[in-house]
Amino acid sequence: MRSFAGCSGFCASVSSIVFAALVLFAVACGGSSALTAKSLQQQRDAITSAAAEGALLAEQVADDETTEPFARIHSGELADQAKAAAQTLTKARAPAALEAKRREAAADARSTFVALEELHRAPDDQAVARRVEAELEQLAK
Amino acid sequence: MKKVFEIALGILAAIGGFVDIGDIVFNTAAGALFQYQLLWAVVIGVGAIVTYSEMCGRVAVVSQRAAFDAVRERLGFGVGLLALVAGQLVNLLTLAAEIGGIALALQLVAGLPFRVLLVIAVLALGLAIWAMPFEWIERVFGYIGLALLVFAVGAIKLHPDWGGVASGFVPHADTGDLAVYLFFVVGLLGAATVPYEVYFYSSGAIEERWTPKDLGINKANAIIGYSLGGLLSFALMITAAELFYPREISPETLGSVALGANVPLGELGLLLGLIGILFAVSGAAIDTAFAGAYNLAQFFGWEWGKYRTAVEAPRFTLAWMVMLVLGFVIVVTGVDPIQVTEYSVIFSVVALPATYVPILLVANDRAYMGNYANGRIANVFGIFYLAVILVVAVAAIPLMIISNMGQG
Repeated sequence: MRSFAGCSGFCASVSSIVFAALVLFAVACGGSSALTAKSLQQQRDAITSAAAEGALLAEQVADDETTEPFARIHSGELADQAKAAAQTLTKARAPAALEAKRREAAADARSTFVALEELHRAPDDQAVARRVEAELEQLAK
Repeated sequence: MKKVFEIALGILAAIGGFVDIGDIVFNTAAGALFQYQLLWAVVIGVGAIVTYSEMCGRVAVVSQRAAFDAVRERLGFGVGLLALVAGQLVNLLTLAAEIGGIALALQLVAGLPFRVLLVIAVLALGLAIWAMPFEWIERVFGYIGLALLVFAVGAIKLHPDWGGVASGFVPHADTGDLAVYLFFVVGLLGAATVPYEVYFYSSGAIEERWTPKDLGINKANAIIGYSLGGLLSFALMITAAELFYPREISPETLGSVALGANVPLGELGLLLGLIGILFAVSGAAIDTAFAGAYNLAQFFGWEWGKYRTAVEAPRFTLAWMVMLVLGFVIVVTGVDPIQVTEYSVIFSVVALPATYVPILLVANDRAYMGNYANGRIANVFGIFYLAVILVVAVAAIPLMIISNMGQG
C-alpha cells in the first residue's frame, strides 16, 4: 500500500513532467510559431537559395546540358525546400512590424515552389526550362 | 619497377578512397558559406589523417596489432569498452550516412524511388564485400572514385580568384557569425579524420600481410595518397565557392554537389561527378562496415580478416553483415542522410581522441616497435595534431548547439 502510494506520487510527478514536455514538443512542432526578424531572414535565405539553384539547374536543362533523371529529382528536392519554407511562413505568426515582409516572403516561396514543380514535371522541356529559369532568377534577386 | 608500380597503384587507390560523404557535404557547404576561407582547415585535417594513418600502419606492420588491439591494451577493458561503444556508434551513424548517400547518388543517376535504391545499395555492398578479395575492394572503389577529379577540372574551368584561394590557406575569419565558422572548422577536421579510416587502414595493413619491407608503401600511401586526396576536398570547396557563394546558394542535397560538376562541364561532367560520388561513398561504406567488424573482433579477440573465409571467421563475418543491416535500418526510417552525415562527423570528432591517443602511445613504445618506434618528427606532428584534436573534441558539441548545427 505504501509502495503504491509512493509510486502514485512519483508517477503523478513523472506524468506531469512528461505531459508538460509533450505539450511543449507539440507546440514547438505542430503549432504556429512566432516569427522573429532572424527566423524570417533564415526563411528568406532558404527561398533565395532554392530559387537561385533552381535557376542554375533550369539553365542546364534549357541548354540541353544535363540528364532527365537528374533534372527531375533535383528540381523535386528544391521544390520541397521551397514548399517547406512556404508552409512555415504561411502558418507562422509575425509581429505587426514584420507582417508585410512575412506575406511577401510566403508569396515568393509559393512562386518558387510552383516554378520548380513545373521544372520537376517537365525535366526535359527546354522551352519550359528557359521560362522557369527567368522566373527563378527574378525570385532569387 | 614492380615496386614503383605497386606504390603508384596504392597511391591512386588512396586518392580515390580519401573522400567520403562527410567530406563531400562539409567541403561543399563550407565553400558556399565562407568561399575559400576554410581551405586551411582541410590542410590541418589532412595533416592529422596522414600522420596517424602512417603511424597506425607502421604499428600494425611491426607489432601485427591493429588499432583496436592497441586501444584495448592501452586503455584497459573498462575504458576500452567505452571507446569501443563510442567508436561503434560513430561507425554506425557514418555507415547509415554512406548508405543513404549511395541511394541518393543512384537516384540522381537513375531517377528511381529512394527506398528501392536503398535496398539495392545494401545488397550490392553486401555482395561486393562477400565476393571481392580485399585488394580488389580497395582498388576498384578507389580507382573509380578518382572520377571525382572532375570537380578539380570544373573548379579550374570556373576561373577562381587564385589570390583568394591562396589567402584561404592562412587562417582568418571574415564573418559575422564566428560560431558557424568554428562549427565548420570542426566539421572539416572531423570529416578528414573520421575514426573508421584509421581502424580500416591499420587492419588493412594486416589484411594485405605487409611486412617491415612494405613500410615504404605505407609511408607513400599515407603521405602522398592522402595529401593528393585532400586536393579533392579543395576542389569541392573551390567549386562551391565559385558557383554557390556569389548566388547565396546554401547546398543542402547531394544534387547540389553534382550540379557543381554539371554547370562547368555539362552532361559528361555531371555523370563523372555522380559516378565519382557513388564509388567514393560506396568504398567508404565498405570501409566503415569492415571497421565496425574489425573493432569488435580485435577488442574481443575473435578471428578476423577478409582473407579468412566466413567459416574461419564467423563472428567477424556476422559483424559486418549486422553493421550493414543496422545502417540500412537507420536510414530507411526516413531520416535525411545529409543530416545523419553532419551528426556522424561531429560525434566522430568527440570520439577521435580515444583512437588517436593509444596509437601514439604504442607507436612510442620501443618494446613493441623496436627501431620502428616514432622518431622526433613523427612525435612533433603526432603531438601537435593530438592537441588540435583534443581542443576540437571538447568544442564540438558546444559549437553544434551554439551554431544551431551550422544554421546560425
